[in-house]
Amino acid sequence: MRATDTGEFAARVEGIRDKLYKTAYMYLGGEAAALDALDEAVYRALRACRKLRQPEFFDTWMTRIVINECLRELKRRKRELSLDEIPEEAAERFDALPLREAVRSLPGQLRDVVVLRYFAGYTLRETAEILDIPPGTAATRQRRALELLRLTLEDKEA
Amino acid sequence: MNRNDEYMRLLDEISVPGEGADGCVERARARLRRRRLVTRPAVTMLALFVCFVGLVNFSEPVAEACAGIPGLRELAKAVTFSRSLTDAVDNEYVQPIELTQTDGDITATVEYLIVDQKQVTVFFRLESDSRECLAVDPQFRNAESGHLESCAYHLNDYDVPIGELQSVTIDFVNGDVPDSMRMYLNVRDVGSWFGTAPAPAASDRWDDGRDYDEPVYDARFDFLLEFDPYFTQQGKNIEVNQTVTLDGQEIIIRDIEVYPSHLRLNVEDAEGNTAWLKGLEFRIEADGEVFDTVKNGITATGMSGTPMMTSYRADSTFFYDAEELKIVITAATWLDKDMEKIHVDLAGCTAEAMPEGAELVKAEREGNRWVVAVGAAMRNWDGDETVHNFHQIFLGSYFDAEGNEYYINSWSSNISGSEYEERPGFFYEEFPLYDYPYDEVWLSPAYSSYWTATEPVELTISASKT
Repeated sequence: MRATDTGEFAARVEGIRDKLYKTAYMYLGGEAAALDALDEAVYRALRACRKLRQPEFFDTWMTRIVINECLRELKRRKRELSLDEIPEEAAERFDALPLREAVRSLPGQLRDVVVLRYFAGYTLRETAEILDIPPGTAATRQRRALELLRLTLEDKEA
Repeated sequence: MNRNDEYMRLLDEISVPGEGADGCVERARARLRRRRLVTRPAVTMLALFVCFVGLVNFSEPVAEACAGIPGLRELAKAVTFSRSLTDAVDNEYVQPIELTQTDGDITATVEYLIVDQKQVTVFFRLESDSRECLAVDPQFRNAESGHLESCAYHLNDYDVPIGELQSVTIDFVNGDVPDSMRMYLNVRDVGSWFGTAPAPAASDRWDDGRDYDEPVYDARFDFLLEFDPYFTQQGKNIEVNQTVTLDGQEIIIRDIEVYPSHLRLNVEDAEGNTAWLKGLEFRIEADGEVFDTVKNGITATGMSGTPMMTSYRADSTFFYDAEELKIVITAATWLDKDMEKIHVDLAGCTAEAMPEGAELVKAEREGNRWVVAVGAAMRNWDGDETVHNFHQIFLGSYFDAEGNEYYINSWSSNISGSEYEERPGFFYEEFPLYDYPYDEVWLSPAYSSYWTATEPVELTISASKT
C-alpha cells in the first residue's frame, strides 16, 4: 500500500473496524481500553502501511497489530496463564466465571482463537492466518477452549 | 441463564463499538501530522541524503569524488563485537541516516541505525583536524518531553581513532523503543589514549565520588533520531512455560523474546527454591546454528523486589528460518536466599560466610574508612596466566547493624597488587567503606555458589510466533 493511499487505508480499516474493536474488547475487557488499543494500533499501522508489500493481507496484518497492542497492554497488567498451568478442575473454575472473564482467563493460545472466531467473527482459516498457525491447530485450540468455557456453539465450518 | 445465552448477550453488548471507534483513523492522521511538523527538518535532511546517494550512483565524476564514503563494509567491521548485529548488517537490516553537526573544530556525523522494538545501536563518527583523541559521553532524552529516557546504554568501544565509525547501544529493558529520541554527544579532548596522566598517589587511590566535577566538554551535539516504524515493530514472543530443574532448584522458563539485535530468555522463580538464580549459561540451537549468550553489554536483567536475574540475553535467531529452538542450559550461578547479606567482623577480619571460591583477605581501618580486600578463584580459568577473568564478588550496597544502607563507590581488581600473594587463577578485589566508624558490616554477595550440569538440560520448543 502506498503511503499516499490514506483514503484506501481508512476504507480498509473501516471495513474491519467492528472486528478489530470486538477483538480488542474481548482481550482487554472493556470499552475504554479497547478504544485506546484500537487508536494506538491504527496509528502504528498508518505509520507502517507503506511497508505492507502485499495489500491483500491488510486485514490479517491489521488484526495482528491490534492483538499485539492488546498483548502489550496485558503484559503491562500482569502475566498470563499458560497452557501447562491449566488445573484439572479448570472447566469448573471457568464455569464459575462470567463468560467475558472466563474468556480473558483462558491461556493465551486458546483465548486468541476463541476471541477471533466467536467474538470478532473471523473464519477458522482467517484465524489461523492471523495467528500464524496451521488450521488444524486452530481447530484443536478452538475445541479445547469451548470445552473449558462449556460453550456448545455450532461450527458451520467444521 | 446458560452459557450460550450468556454468549449471545455478550455478543450484543460488544456489537456496537463505542462512539470513540468512529474517528480512530482521523485521530491517527492528526497524530501523524503533529509528528511531521516536529520532524520536518530531519526528514528534509534525509531527503537530501537520498538525493546525494542518487548523484553518487548516477554521476561518474561524483562517484569518483566520493569513493571514500564509508559503506556497509565499514559498518560490518564496526559490528564484529556482536553476532546479532553482524547478522543484521548481512541482511541489510539497517536504517541509513545522515545527520552532521559541527561545534568548533569537531564534527559529529550520525550515519546508521540498527533499531528494533527494544534496542537501538547508533553508528556515528567524530572528526577533527586538530585533535588526537576524543572521548564521548552520550546522553539520551525523550524527544517530546525532554526527560531522560528510561534506558540503559553503553559505548561499544572506548578507544576508537578519530574519523572511524563507532557505536553506542541503547537498551530499553522494559519499555519499547520510542518513535524518536534526542541523542546528546558530549565530547572532550583526552589528549592521547596512551597518555601520561600521573597515577593518583597511594593515599588518594579511592575516589568516593563526592568531589566529582562535571567534565569540561570541547564540543556538544544534539541529534534528533527518528526511527522508521518498520524497524521499531520488529520482534516476536515465543511462549515456553516449562519448568526445568537446575541443581535441585526449579526454574520456570516463561518465554523467549526474539529481536533482530538480541534474544531474551525470561525466567521466573518457583515456590520452594532455596536460592535465587543469578546467572545462567546456555545456548540456543536453531536451524543448524548455535547462538551463545551475550558477552558484551547487557547480559542479564532483574526486576525490583527480587535479587534474581529474570531475563538473560543471547545472540538472536531472528534472521534464521527455524521451526524449532533448542534451549541448552549448561551452568547456573546461585545466591542462597539466606545469604543475601553476610555479617563481616571487620576488626577480626572474619566473615560468617563467603561466596564459593572467595576469601576475605583484609579489613583495615584507614582514618575514617575501612579498606576491605577479598580474593576469589577466576571462573572457567584454563591455566592461561595471561587471561584474567575477574568477576563481581559483592554488590555495591552494604549495611550497618541498624540496617542503614551505604554504597561502595569505587573498586579495584588485580591479580596480585603490591601486598597480596600472586596465585594462579586467583584475583583480588579491594573496596573502601567510607565514613564507616563501626567494627562490623553486612555485605551483599553477588552470588553464593556455581553449578555446572553433568548433562546439559535441554528444552525444544516450537519457534512459531504467539
